Amino acid sequence: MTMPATAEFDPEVSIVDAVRDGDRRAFEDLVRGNDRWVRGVVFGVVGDPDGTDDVVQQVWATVWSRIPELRDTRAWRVWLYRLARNAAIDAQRDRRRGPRVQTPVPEASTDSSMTPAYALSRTERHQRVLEAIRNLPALYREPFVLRHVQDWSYRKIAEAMGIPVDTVETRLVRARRQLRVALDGKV
Amino acid sequence: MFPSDERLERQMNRSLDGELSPDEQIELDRALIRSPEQQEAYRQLQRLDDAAASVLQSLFPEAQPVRTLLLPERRPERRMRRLWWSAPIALAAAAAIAVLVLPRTPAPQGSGLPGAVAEHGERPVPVHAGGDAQASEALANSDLNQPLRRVQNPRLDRRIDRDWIAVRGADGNIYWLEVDRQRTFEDPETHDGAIRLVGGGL
Repeated sequence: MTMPATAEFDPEVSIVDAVRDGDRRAFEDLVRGNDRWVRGVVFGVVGDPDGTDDVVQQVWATVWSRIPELRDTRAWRVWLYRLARNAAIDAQRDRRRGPRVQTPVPEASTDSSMTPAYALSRTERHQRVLEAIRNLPALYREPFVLRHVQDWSYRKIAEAMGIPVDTVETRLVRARRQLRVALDGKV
Repeated sequence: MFPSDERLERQMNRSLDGELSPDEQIELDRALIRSPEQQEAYRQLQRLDDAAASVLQSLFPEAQPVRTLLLPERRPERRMRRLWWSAPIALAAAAAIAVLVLPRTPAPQGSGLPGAVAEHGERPVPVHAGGDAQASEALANSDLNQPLRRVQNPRLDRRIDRDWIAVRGADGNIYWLEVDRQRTFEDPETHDGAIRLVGGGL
């Protein structure tokens, strides 16, 4: 039996308070500490690394201008998650309307000691895994990305997404199940 | 190889995610010792998870440069009350203010634009500094059609979307300008219109 998500002491609340008061240095700290998972949220929704940068930039600009509207700064993570998610949904809608441009998938880093054959198989594997993640339903991809990009606990994912801890667990189980089928032991 | 039952599958997942209590972990370990097939299923799940984590972490590396040092000024917070007549009045007022405030620097030849509000289908001229003499000089030859960065602002009004663009001035500083994109009911396409300096020389 898992427990429902509850609020814990959050040291970042004081940073969020300072950002609300217009402290630019605090804003830099907020971005530095949270940019990675915000990018993960955007990718989790869109399922495509293309254009993530632009959406994330827009999210941070919106955070700066709209954070005075945030009444309870203890709920900042849910607020930021929703802001990022909505921006990603809007961007996805816009992209569906426009022409689709496929950009190359970033490759896994290789080092010079690898044989070319090994490096190639590693790159292929990397792309296969990325493709499988991209093909997951957004419902499962979002918690899966948050879990792996930022190493978040179920509780933290649940808190950000505003869903029960049990639901996070179920979605992660299903995400892995689908990945296993899609990759069919090719990892 | 798949875990044989859902409870075991959930335990394996939670173990990978570091969510098992010590007692639950012992229970899982015992189940795996009893069954080589389940051991193999667990290892496969672990390999898959490691591969996924590696791919995602390469997509989103830890050390990202902070790209948001230049921010537009915040507007004073106020409660917006939408009245049926407010949008056209606000639009007219914004256009009038922009025309008054923007410097009357002659537009480059061929642009055909007098200042603040672009005509239908035309682009704004690169001289918009909200009356700030230093910024005006720095931006005199900047190309607003190709800003360093364009940030979409949330929709404020049904007829005006407000964006921010970052432009590098001749003095090497980056200036943030606020751009109204206007549309009409007859023509739903938006066109760049009033432009204001909101932060500069930063």
